[in-house]
Amino acid sequence: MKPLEIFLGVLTAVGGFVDVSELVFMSQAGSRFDYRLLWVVVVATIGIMVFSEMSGRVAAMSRQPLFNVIRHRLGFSLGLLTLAGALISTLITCAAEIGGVALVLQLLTGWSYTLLAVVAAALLILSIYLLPFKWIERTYGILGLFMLVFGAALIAIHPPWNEIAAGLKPQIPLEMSQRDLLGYGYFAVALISAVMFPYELYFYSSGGVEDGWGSADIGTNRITSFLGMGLGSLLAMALLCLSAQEFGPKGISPEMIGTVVLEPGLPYGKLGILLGLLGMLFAIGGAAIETCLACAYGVCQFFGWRWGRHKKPSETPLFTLAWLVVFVLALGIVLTGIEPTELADYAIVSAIVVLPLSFLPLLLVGRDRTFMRDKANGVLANTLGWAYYALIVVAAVAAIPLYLLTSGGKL
Amino acid sequence: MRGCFALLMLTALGACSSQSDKQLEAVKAARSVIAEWALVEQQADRGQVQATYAGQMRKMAKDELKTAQAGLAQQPDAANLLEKLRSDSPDAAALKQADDALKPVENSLEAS
Repeated sequence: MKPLEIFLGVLTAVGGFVDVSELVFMSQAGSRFDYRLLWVVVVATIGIMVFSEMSGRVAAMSRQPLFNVIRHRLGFSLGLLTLAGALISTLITCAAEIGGVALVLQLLTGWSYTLLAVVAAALLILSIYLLPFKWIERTYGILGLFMLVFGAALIAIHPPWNEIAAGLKPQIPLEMSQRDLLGYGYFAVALISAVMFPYELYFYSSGGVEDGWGSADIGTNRITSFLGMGLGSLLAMALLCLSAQEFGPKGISPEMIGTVVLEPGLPYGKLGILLGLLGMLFAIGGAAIETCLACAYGVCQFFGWRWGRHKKPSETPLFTLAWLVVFVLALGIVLTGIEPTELADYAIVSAIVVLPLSFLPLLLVGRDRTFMRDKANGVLANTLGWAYYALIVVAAVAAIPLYLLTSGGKL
Repeated sequence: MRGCFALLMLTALGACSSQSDKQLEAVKAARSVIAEWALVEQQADRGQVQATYAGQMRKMAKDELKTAQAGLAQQPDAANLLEKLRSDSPDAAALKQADDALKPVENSLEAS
């Protein structure tokens, strides 16, 4: 294990943890339900740690990324259905991220949103085209560390730590009205989905293959998954807590992404706003690239086309075409005028529905000793894996009814 | 077949969400946007936000209120209030007043 590689990997995972859906849902959950949904973020974070570690380990041992595994384990028809669902969900997410980048740029420059969406897409395409694979992740992930200003802001406002600690305890607030309880349920499902987005696994496992991971990288994978995701999640929880403290009492349930940046803006003024906007810009920009590449990885791996950003574009023409098409389609969705917050709503619901089909093959391969040899899932990984699988199946079944009954958490 | 029926029922449930639910959603969104706008104005008065940021947030708030206003067509007083906010340059106090004025509308819709 190389300490510098691990350090940079962890920093990248932290800076790249938050995306537009987390910004929206953490803030809204905090302002509406105080700290009472914090425990859901903890539960979901352990889940994404378990599955990302498993996907990295499978990639390292079998040299197979997730969509190869999905096709082999689910068969062509069900695999194709999974691919279609994943593509729709990830494309919507990519559109939400591009819209989010454009909004942040608009807040920084005052230029037109439409123009900035085009500029954002062009800059993101250039980033993928020009930067080596490792530095695509690292550039956005490390610059995304400007988001740490949200963590600093939470400490600066001296929140009620005892109430935060109480929020970590699993709870169903039965004293709420039926409407609020449904809203609580919807936000619980939305937070699970926001933290456990399937594109993160498609990207992470493909990245492992891109970086040529082998059995010697299992330790790096484990540290990056556990520490990177864990620390990144602390940042997401800071968003929720800041919102509970600063927005809830003022009757604000952020409808505008730009409001979120007032969380560091209140204690730190203009500097807090600037750092917050820069953090959001790079964190969301990184997520846009991950979602776009995740779509291209999925299609190419499923159909057996040559893929990989570590190869020259001329060596992988279909892969290059695929990620370009994804960006163009996502930009097209943004230019229809649908707001990024609304796209984030759709992304969250569609992602949770796709999760069970994406995670099942991973669980099956992870425990298979013919593939994984001595690195197959142990008792803990299997137990946690199947327990989380049951949880996401329940969340997936509940997602659409809760979305409809609460009007996407707006009632 | 049973699954399709359940899905149809859910879709119908979503489509049939009552008119008052849609109004409630609109008034809740409007109140939050007004509170967000008020916070921006309050911070702008203290010189704690960049002029570009404040200007864009005002613009975005007006756009959001336009959407909310469309959902409040059957609440003419509330819709007129939102129209007035959109055409003026209200300060934090005026926005707070508007928020207070919308509270009874939300309460009555919540109760219905």
